[in-house]
Amino acid sequence: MLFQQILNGLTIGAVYALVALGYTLAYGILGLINFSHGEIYMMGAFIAFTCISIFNWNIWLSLILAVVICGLIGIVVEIVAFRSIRHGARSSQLISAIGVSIVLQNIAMLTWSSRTQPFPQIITTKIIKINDIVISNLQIYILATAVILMVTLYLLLYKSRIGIAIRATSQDPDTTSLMGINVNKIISITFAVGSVLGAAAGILMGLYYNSIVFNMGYTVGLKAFVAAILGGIGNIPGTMLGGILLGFVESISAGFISSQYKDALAFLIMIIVLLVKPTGIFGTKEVEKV
Amino acid sequence: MTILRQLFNNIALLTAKNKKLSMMLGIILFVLFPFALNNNYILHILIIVGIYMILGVSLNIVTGITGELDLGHAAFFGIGAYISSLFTMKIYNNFWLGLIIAAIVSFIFGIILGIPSLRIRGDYLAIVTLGFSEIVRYVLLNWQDVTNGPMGINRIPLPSIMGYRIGTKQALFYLVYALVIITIILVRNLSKSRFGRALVAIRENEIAAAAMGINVGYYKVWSFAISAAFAGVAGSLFAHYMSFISPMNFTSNESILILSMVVLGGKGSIIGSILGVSVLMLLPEMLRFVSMYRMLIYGIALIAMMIFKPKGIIPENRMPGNYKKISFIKASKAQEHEV
Amino acid sequence: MELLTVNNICKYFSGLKAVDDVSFNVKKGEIVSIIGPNGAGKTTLFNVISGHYTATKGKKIFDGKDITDLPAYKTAEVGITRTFQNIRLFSNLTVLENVMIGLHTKLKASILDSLLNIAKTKEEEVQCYDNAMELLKQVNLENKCMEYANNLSYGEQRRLEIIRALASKPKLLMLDEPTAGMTMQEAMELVQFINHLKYEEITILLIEHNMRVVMDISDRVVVLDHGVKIAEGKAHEIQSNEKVIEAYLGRRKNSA
Repeated sequence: MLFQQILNGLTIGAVYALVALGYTLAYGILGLINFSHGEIYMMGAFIAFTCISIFNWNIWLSLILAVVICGLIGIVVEIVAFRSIRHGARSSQLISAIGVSIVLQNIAMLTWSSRTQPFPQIITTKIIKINDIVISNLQIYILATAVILMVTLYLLLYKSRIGIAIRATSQDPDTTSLMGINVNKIISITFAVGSVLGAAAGILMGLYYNSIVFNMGYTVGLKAFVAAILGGIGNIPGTMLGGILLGFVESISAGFISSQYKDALAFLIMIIVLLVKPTGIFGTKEVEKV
Repeated sequence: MTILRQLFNNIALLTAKNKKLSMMLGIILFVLFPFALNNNYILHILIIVGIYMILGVSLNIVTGITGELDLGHAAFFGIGAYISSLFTMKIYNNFWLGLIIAAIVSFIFGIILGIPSLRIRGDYLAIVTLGFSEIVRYVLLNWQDVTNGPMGINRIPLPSIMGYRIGTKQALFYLVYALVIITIILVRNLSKSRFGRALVAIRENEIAAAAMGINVGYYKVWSFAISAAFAGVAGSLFAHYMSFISPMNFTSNESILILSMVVLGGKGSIIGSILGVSVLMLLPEMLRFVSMYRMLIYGIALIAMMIFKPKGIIPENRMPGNYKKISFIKASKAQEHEV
Repeated sequence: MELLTVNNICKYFSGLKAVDDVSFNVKKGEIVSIIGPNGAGKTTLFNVISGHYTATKGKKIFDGKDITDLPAYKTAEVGITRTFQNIRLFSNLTVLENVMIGLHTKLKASILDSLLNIAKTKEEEVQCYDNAMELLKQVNLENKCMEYANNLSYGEQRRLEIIRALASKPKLLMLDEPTAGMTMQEAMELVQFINHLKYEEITILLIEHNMRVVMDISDRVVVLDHGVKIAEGKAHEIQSNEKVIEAYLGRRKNSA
């Protein structure tokens, strides 16, 4: 029973982590809570659904197309909604992000209606039973994909020239631009990367639950954000762990405490963690300079 | 058009010259308005707008004046609504007592939400307030014995004054706007006072504020608590007016909406909050003719406003008001002496 | 009589000894300067005294009371106010309001009074306004009272910060590099102003780099280097102190 919950938690946590990375990347580079990120996750699922179920395109082509389009949406969102207020008040950035969220959600609703849609079953579910534990092949695929994506992100950030530029920009954009790096381009790339991860998460979740709906981004977006905060937003490994931790908390509390309160419990744990460590578990301590 | 503009200019000139007269005129117009406008639908919308004005103006204390992003205001709105309904329905049927208890309980929860602000800052605090809002909603949803869960509470009694039931939309309109005006006056007093100055000092620079002898944590918690108490009043009004409430009315989406109103109107500006509430509440109504696309336009409007007017419709202006009045009185007195 | 006594104050930042075992005192009515090369720990010491940092070790006695554990706002309440090296004004507020906030501890209006704006509070506000304008006159800023603080020139901002700190009539005023970035003339005007404060029985502790200012106004000088007090004495004594010269200019390798 416990092992089963851990497995379920790990699956869902991996998806949270993927979405949470989008928050962390945006926060790391712009100091911005990109509230609209959850909608990218939804868009990813819907675009893949359209290409596969409606246009009957090749599955791999469809998946790649969905992810790429979402990357482009991320770039456009940053340019339109955030670029000019990059140095503005936190609250204006937040409201602008909320505006983007409303716009994307309504575009989805107008395009695909407000009904729940069945996500194409591109993988036939197989169930493996070991004693009491039920493992579906989907869970394994999700975990594997998430791990591959996270490793790729890690390599991109820490082993490539673009990664160095991204990290430099998040440290100090002004100095970075003095080094001859086009900061705007780097920020666009960062948003694209975050959006690609979010879209992939959306597709994985669509596969897992078999159904998608236009407002599915809100709750998952919120939870992924909690995951990012838990781990320490802006910190990549911390965010990954935060996502998985949140997945555990949810599935374990659903299994052992109360499924009705599982979401409330996640928030409660977040608040307690922040009270103990105000910048998340792996967050760097902000030293207040007088 | 030109005639209209001229007329408008003349009125503006007249009112500028004679402030008392124009205020009287405004009051008379306000009093007659609900009768002249015998349209229950519009009155309904105006009442709801009024309730949200209380929410917007009170959130402005935390977000505009103290400068903390608060994404949990709907929680206090909900707490006030549920406490007031449950009190009047189960303990003692007196609307005013219910309203006061709603304010007190919300106040206490405001302190509880304010306490994390002692340790947690900025964006982290914003997400804590959001989390708080969500927790309250889950409790309302799942504590079925008390809150009746997702079914909500039905048949909440209408407000009454000294035994007289306030049943008509007109009467309710006056009740709500009387409280709106009281809220505005109190928050205005607050913002221009020693307390308000301490709050803006904290917003501008916590370290310097502490060096001026301002107990930063204490004032932050108070600002959360007072803001929450007003939201509790708004909740009580909402419950007794609608006579039906459910957790759906108090989601974190609602919190975000209220915050949008305050930021759109102009953080720190009370008139701004009122305008922000009016615009964001009435916009969807006015956009009904585009039916399906109204929320889309609404979202685009939010982004456009933040890009082109990031400080809001009416940016905060701490110059006039009390200080100007004082200096004006001084100046005129000085002149008298010279003569 | 000693107004402030600092005993064996230490402030460590995870291993880094920013201030190490510093003791000195300030007598009533004195002007004491703290000098030292960059990174000597002067501002850290200031932050410890003003309560913005808590000392790792040591004791602070002010006016006969132990204030070691008081937070910054209480330290201000007992009568120590300060300015900051990198000016910390309330930049989006008016000059007037900046000074009125400086008067915070002198006002009595409670939160409920503030909400209801009772007659007593209104009166107090008028007084507060008068008081603030009076203070602004002292630094020639009364004509700028309705300007936003961040629209002032650099010198004006420094003056505003000082008068804001003086508003509550502190017993001890701490100035962190008050003449930094000022022209010589502006600096000299400020020196005059500080000297004039002496007659109002305000004791002053300041950090200063401008040696001419230090020599002109200080009764005594405390010298810090690498977090340690290396000298203390009258201004002219310090000038010829071997250790001080060494700290500033470095050790002469082929000393004769």
